[in-house]
Amino acid sequence: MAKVTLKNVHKYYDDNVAAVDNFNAEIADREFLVLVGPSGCGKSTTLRMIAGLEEISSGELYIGEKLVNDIRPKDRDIAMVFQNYALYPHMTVFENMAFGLKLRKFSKDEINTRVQDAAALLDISALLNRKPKALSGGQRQRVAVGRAIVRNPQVFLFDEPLSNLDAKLRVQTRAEISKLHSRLQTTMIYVTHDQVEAMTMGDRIVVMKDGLIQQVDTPMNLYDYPDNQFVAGFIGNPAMNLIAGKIVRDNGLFFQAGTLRIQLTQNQEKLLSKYLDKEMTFGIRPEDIYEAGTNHGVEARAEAPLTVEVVEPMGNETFLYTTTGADSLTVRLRTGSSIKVNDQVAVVFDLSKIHFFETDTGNAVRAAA
Amino acid sequence: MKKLQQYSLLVFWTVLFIYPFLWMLSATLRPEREIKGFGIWPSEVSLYNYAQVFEKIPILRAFLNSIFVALVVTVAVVVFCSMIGYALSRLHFRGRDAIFYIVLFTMMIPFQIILIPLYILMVKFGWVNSYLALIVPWMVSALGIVLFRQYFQSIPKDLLEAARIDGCNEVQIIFRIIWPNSIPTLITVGILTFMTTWNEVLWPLIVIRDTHLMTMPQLVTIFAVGGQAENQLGVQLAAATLLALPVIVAYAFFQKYFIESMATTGLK
Repeated sequence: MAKVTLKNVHKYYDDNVAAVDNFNAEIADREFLVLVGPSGCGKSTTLRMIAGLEEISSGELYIGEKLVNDIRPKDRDIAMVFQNYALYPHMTVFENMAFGLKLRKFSKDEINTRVQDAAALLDISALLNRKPKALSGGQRQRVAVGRAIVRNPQVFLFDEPLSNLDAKLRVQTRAEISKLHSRLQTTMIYVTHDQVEAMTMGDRIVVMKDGLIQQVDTPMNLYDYPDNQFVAGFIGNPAMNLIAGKIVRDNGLFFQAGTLRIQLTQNQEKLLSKYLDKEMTFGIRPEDIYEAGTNHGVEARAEAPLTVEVVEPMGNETFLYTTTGADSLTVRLRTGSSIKVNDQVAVVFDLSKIHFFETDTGNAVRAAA
Repeated sequence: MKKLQQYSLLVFWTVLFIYPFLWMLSATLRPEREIKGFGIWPSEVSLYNYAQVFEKIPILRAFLNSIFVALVVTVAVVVFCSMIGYALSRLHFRGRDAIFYIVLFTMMIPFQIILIPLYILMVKFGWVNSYLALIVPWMVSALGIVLFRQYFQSIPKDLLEAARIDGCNEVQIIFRIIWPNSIPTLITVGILTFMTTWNEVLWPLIVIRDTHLMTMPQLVTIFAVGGQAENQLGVQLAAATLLALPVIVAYAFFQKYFIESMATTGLK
């Protein structure tokens, strides 16, 4: 068990493009940290640098108190689960799990005990004599995790381990990895492009884009207080509605985008008065929009008329994909409703839950905490 | 009906191809005077020709020499070329691709061109008339390197990285991870090398003088053209048959892998 510290870590490839640009993070002992972002954002490269599979161009990497920049992967006391599992095809499940221990010259008894224990934990004891090609995707995934567990490493690294599983198995395995984490009490670093995995599994999440950290925070803080427009749009499904417009004064401050006109609260006026006549982006999550006239208990409110284009009933909730002028808005209704395509609906925005971003920088505008 | 046509055609080609070998085999079992025309049925079968070969030349010794040389060269090629193929496909270093192109280029140079410089080198090393001259120059082959490199590129990168994290060094990765997953290619390179080395005549003729160091093809060639066989076709053919036998046996054993590998290296 150990903390992992990255200080000013950079990764440049041959063409001098920064794949990872000044990555700073301290991952606490026993923390479950998720690196998330779109493909090409540098999350996997960061993980591979921690693993030692990729050289660090500049900066320092510590596992525990030890600087490990120049230490080989096998001596870093880490284990990694790969996206395609990377099981050795010529070895049985047992041999796959035992291989790392054998190379480290563990006694036969010790190897046996460890593999059997891990197999029992992962419910793969019956598969120990099979070759990987005789296993299903889910079983292979477990073996890959088992191979990591037997080593009892200080840090577990996961590189998109669920992306080759079907949707149902993915949800199930997600929960199992979370359980495993609380059971093993080990530092885990997990890379995914799936924000749902990130939200459900991580103690903290690092959101990355173009090699840069966008925000590091707990899942709920990321959701409720995104630092910038990218994080706001990336975390949450369906994504936050983002509408570009302007702050205008007309008997009080308004946010105006096409026909959409929202009067700001007093607090927001204070915050946004310096942005008068400037380009702003307004953000609101689909669940913070309500059908007008329903009892939703929202105090600060603004109403707007929307045209419904698509209705998606999910059973427990309904998504409406709507337009107002040139902008689209997604609305999440908690109950089934009789709204049909092409209907005009009046909705209410919960003004206590809205976000504003500077359109040019993308940075969030909020009162200092 | 169509099938019948297809099969007849195949049988026809097979016979056309295999007939000379059958004729040669039958000729070795016949008395000298009967070896003429296209017939292959001997009126009487005798091993006289083979007895003559063993009597006139140290063929057994030459056989052992050939086996020794071919085996050492084959093992060396498989070990060294797989290591080089690994480096050229999986390690990253400056000039890697340039080295690969140079290796490819050497395949275009006919052997006759390097024959003399290579011979001079052997003389300078004092290796003429020794096993070293037969073995050392052939311990690495460009074809072997290319075949291994191409195949290794198809092995998933993650597999090697998993091994690296598990604690393998690069040599262990080659022999414990890559080799067990490249058996058809290992066998293909092995068979190709063994056959080429076994069949080599020109080079041994140049560097070996001592009869006891001669390889089988060399000895048989000298025997056949050098007058020792006293112009007896049966005896010459018997020597040639003995020469071909080990290669045919080896191929028969490994052909399954050989064909598999040829098929997959073509596809992947």
